[in-house]
Amino acid sequence: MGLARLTKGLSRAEPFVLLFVVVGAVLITFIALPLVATVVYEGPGDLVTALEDPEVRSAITVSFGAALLATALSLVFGIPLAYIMARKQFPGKGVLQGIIDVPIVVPHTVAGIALLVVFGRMGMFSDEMSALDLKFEDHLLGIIAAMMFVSASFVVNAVREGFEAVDPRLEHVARSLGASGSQAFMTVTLPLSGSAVLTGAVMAWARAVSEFGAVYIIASFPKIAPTLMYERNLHSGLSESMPVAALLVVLCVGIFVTFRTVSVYLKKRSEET
Amino acid sequence: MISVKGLSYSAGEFNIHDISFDVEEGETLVVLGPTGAGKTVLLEILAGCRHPRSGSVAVGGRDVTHLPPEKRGIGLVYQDYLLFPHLDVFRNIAYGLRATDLGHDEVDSEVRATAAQMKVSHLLHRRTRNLSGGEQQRVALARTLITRPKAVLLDEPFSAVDPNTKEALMRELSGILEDRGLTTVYVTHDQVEAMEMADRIAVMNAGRIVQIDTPEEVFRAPRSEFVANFVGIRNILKGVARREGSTTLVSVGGIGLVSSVELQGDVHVTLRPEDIIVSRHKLESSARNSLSGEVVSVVEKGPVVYVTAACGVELTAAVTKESFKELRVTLGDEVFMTFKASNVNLF
Repeated sequence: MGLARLTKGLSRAEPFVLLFVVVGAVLITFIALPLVATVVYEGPGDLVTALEDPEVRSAITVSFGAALLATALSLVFGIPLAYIMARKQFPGKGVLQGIIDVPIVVPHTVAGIALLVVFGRMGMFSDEMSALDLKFEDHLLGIIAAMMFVSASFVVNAVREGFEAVDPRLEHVARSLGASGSQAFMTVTLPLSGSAVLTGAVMAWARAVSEFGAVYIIASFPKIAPTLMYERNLHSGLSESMPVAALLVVLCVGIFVTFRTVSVYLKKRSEET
Repeated sequence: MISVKGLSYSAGEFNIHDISFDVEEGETLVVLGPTGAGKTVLLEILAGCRHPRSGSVAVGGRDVTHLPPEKRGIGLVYQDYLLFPHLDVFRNIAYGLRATDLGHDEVDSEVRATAAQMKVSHLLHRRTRNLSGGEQQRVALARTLITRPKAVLLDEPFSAVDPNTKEALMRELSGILEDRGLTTVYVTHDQVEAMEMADRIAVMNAGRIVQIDTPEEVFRAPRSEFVANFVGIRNILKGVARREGSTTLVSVGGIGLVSSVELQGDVHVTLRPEDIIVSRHKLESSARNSLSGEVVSVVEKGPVVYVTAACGVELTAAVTKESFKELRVTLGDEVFMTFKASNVNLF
């Protein structure tokens, strides 16, 4: 049915559209082929073997867990910021938006170094941190900080767009009906932005889980999955690192696709009602 | 009930300049003006959603200028109703009861009672997206009325309603407002709506209230050219007035008119088209003004025909289609235009 429609559509397409289809297909192949090849090259048996390796399991747990915590922190701090950015006009707003976006352009290793300058053993807050017994370098906190640094922008920008799409007059109505500002936010603006929040969280989590450079600089231990991959590839070569790589592709793509599907479904449902 | 003093506001293209008015308990004040006059901004200031640069707003004798919207006891209904899209009709109506300490059963019975009064009981479990304009309006009103506001602000309530049902809805709304003794500020750009709903009309233009009067006064005696134009008075002339005995003689472009307005010097003259009687022969009547002239244009507009004759100055009269048929006038015919001195408004 779907294929029949596709063939029918293509047979009616103008020449330039056909050309675009071919050119676009090159890019899709370029992205998909290495991933598919990595998985296919390893049999399912090797994936199971990789999953049974305790070092692999621990690395994946650290990766996914740290990314989840980084995303949660980004939501806690990012949602209020997104609301301010969506609703208020103030001098310096452009600069603020620039700061929010800057982690996207900073090379990841540079981001790691920059975090060390602040949170490292010899960093700006070394005294305060040792007084509080807080460690970032080679510690889970460092991993979370690095992941949050590179992924928080996705939360702020997606949620901001979600808030902007909610008519501020809905908040006016809520308040004229007796709701305080925060009640109006919690009962009207936030629920109406649910799918945007989920989209931002999924994007941020995906970004966090795929981060290597910044994390490796601030914390090469505990090992996250990309660190494990990198070290195995360095010491034992492709044959050792491939099964882990294949496993990561399957898990990450699986989780990403699932959540994307859910958030797209939520968005569609909220548009229909 | 509502007392507004010296209100000024500016934000980009929306400005409010030094607006003052009072709305009495139970009164409906209609704010009438063209799009962009600042009517909605005015309502949002009254509701507390925007903060005025200067001036004050008092409700029931209490200064609310610096109170947030939820502490004012003023209901606000926007022209597109803005029902909460993520809540069904029941939860929309119940929204304002969240902040109260009513129990579940009390909320339920309150919502049902209000829904019944607004005739939306059958919609309670519907989503809001597919309701008609009229249904959305009823739900929005129910949602506001359930909180028992001291006053309500209605922004173009009938702009999204089917014109065929508008008339009946208007009568119904005006009944509800009256039954509840609600103090109302009602915004519209439609003169007929204003005429029908208003106890008093405030005509607004470019952020200012240019006239505030009873509907009759506004339509019979506009105090500025803007108001005259806006309320559809087609005959606006300039002349010089002088008092003679108990009447005023106005000379306008070489002809003389009699007016009962006591005014002298340079004046604007306005005359509503429906106040002019058109006839083929001179009428024997008590009307003080009777001019003859040649018909220069005939324009049909709905049930009304506008007949314009050059009587020294051009005057336009409105006649119904039936009387126009009986008149049997065409371009170039000589007609008489007769009107009372009391209908000749000067400002």
